[in-house]
Amino acid sequence: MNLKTTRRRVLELAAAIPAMSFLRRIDARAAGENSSAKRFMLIYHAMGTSGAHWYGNASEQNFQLGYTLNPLEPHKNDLVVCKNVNNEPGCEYWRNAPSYCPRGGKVDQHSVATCTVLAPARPRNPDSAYSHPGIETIDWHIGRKLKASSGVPFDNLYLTPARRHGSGLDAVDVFSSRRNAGGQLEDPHAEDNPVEVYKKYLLGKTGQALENLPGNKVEADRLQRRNLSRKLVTDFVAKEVMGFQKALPSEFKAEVEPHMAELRELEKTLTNVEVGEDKPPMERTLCSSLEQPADGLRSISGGNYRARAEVMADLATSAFACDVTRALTYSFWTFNGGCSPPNMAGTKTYGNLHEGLQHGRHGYTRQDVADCHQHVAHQVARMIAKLKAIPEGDGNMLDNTLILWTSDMGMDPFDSGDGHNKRNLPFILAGKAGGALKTGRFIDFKNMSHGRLYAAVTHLMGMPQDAWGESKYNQGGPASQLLQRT
Amino acid sequence: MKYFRLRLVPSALILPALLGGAACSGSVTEGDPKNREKPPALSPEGEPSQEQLARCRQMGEDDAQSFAGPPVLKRLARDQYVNAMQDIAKKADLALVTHPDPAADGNATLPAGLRVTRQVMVDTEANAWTAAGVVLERLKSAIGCAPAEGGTCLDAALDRLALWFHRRPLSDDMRTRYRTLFDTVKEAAPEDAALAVVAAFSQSPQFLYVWDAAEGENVAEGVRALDARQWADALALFLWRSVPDETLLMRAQEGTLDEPDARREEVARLLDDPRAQRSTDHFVGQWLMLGGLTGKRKEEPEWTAALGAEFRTDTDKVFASLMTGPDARFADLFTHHTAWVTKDNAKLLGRDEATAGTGAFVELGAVQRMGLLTHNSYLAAHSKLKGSSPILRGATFNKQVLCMEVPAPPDDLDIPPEPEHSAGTSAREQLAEHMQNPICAGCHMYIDPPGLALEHWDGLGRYRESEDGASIDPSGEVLLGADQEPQSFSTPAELFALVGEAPVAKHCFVSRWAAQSWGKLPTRGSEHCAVENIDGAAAGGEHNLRQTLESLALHPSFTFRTEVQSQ
Repeated sequence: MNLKTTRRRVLELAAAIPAMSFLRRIDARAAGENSSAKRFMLIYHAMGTSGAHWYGNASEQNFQLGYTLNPLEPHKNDLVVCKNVNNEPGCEYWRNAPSYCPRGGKVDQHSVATCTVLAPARPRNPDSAYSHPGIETIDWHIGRKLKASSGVPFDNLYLTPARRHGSGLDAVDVFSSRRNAGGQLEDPHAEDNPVEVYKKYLLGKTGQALENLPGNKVEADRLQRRNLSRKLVTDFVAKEVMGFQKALPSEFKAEVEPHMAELRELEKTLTNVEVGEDKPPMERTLCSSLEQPADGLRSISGGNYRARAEVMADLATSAFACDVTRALTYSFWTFNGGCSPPNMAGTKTYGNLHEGLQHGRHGYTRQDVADCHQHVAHQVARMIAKLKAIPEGDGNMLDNTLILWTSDMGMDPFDSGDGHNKRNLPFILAGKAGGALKTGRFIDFKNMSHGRLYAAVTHLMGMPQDAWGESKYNQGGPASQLLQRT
Repeated sequence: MKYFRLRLVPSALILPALLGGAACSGSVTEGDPKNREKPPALSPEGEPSQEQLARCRQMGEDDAQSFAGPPVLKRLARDQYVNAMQDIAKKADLALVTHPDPAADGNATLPAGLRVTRQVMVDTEANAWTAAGVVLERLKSAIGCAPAEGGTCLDAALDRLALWFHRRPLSDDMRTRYRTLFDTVKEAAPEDAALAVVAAFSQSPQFLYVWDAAEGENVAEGVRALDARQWADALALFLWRSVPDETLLMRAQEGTLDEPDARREEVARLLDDPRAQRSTDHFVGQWLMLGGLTGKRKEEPEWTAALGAEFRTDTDKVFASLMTGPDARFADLFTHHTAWVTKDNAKLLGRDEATAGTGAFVELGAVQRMGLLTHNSYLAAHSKLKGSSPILRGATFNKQVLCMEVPAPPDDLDIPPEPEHSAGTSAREQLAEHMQNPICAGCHMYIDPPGLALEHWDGLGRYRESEDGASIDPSGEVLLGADQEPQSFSTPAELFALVGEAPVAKHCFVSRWAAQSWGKLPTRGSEHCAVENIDGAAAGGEHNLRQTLESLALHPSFTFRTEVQSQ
């Protein structure tokens, strides 16, 4: 019996497995709770973005997606696009500390932004490049709570396709600012190596996690039976195609040959369980049959950024599908040639993108920025599509998930004058949060502090708080627009 | 001065006059039917001569067998597959995973582009199980019992599934095989048995392929007609881009589709059904090359994918109404002033967003809209990143509307980079060197004029009186046929009037529709002859658009096939 299949294949086929009842069990367990998300994913990219390309002509009366967000068009009804949400502590801190110039002073603008973007409070120590407000970041907080309530093995995974450890460029990555309640960096589950993600979080732990979850044996058997059904149907179809091919005149037979060849390949990926008492061993379940990512993806090299980004996206959705964690942070390295629309490879590197978007130099156009971030949108769309393809309860996994996508800077940061605008951050929510969030909307928050948005997020996640961060950045309470269900 | 490197694929006709140009010329292409040797008699094989084509135009019922082509093996194109699955499930929003078919010519679906790939296989298998539950629910309601019970209910289910998916009755052998599958799955996973049968039907070659070797009456030596069931299948795939509905299938099964009048009735019924728009959408997308519109990158502040989709909807709606309405003629495609206005495209069309609803046909001004070539979809799809592009628009016009190929510049031609647009300079001025340099002029004398005639519409298709301060001169000359003299026009309206009456444009249009009706490009002598004949019939009907579709569906080339010898 060969249950080994590719990771991608498993996720693709997940759409064909309506009876993933271990997921339904999760849903059933939550049925007694108020409507709220069971999973949380924070998506982050650096540098802000181009407002015209992001929003297009969108308004509250005319919900549209701009060029950058084109890949999300099929999922428009699963989104809430937010406008005019500001990182006020980031702005305020910078205004009050003008001497801290990025090149001549002590604090980097991006450090200010990343330290405050997930924790709306003033940093404790303005003299430190990585000073942190000292409150728990929103992703960490939610992950910890979700682990406690669900019993999953991990509270939060931090995934990124590329990270430059110790290079100083961590300043633009939220990794450095993800803190626990004591303001300390406490993040053992961070990975930029897809192979390690697979090994640490999916390969060994998954089987154990599945076994430890009550009712999982029933589900594993069910999956085995469904795989067997699929195998039997595929065998049947192969014979039908063979018969069809045989009946064709000789000059047409070759036209059907690729179909036969692909059926044979498909059969290899399905179980070949024999009918009878000999049930497959427990570890051969959907999650543990994921295939290890290629060795060539272990580190950034040879222009493999996109492939790594894609694999990381798939691993992220696998981590949810396999229920090893209920919270994830996916940070995109959206500069360097790695972002790689063709015109950005080589000559336009990180320095140029930063200098261009933040300082308007080196001939960077907003179209370059939009192309770069459209790549992120592609990956987000990929994850959304996969989560939607996994049935859960009466809907799908995305219905029970809340995705929050943001950045350290706002729209068109160079236009703000100081080159590091922290207003009008690109906030997008996706997923119905277990029915708590009404999606398919564009909301203009008219210069609301992002603390209020996060406070609303805690409500959507079923762990309500009146504020998130310092009270001065939460005046008005949780963003009520996000809590309206009709 | 502006240069643009054209990259066009071969088209049906390459006009000698065009190819007789300067440096971008080549020898007269052998594929030009007007330059063929005359074989002694028309043959379904080979390529017809001018004289033969003239005869083809006059052929009547007595020569019907001459239009018979060999049978073709086709797989459902992506859109046909999705439509069919949704129609069978009776669920328009049935979520299916599909990927684009491998690129064919861009004009029609080619069998070679429909071979099963890994992606197709993966999608089809996943979709089979995704859809199985929905189809099973419809099935239960249709037959009034649960197939999982087996017995006679299973037989009823198999009969119905065969009708829906195979579009033909189940043979005894096949029934046995499906029953065996049901029993085998039931033993291993009882809850899956009925679902597995449905999933198997939606992956079966009888559903996914069309092998159209005729099984009907022998109409001449070596020529057979499609039987009623096959014709019904072909008709639905042509006019609905889907499988036949039960009405059509039952009429075929009952033998009431044998008479021409009955077939005309069905053609009319299908054309009157909203599903006919799938066919016209598919056609206009390929004809005017609008496929990439929504994903097109543009540096225009107003541009979004959603706006692109609105542009496309406008064109789809207008084109469908022209093609399926009773009165529209070919010329109307290039002269109508109608738009489908919604709140999302109203502003760009100069209409009030506040009063625009979810969509309505509106007559725009005769200056703003003059036929399909002035639709925002065409103009935006064939424009540059920012601003218009007379070259892209003109080249697409020649290739798609006139079936004239414009070859790419020679590889060794040193083409300078495209200069930045300078305010106050018109596109005509920037393209002036094309006409002065004989190396460029050989092709651009045909490409640029129809493109420059569209300069009153910017990169998003908005009408403008001037181009960034420069006045617009849309006049020029257009070549409408290899054997024609270039004709002058001074306004876009004059150009569109010429195109609407040009035999070469009408022939091109018929040829492309014929390709869609057959599921293949006309490449054989019999097919070229059939196109000529259908074009002749369309001319007899003053190129009424709906009648052209009816002619295609009722034409012998749609119904007759030569018999296959080898086995």
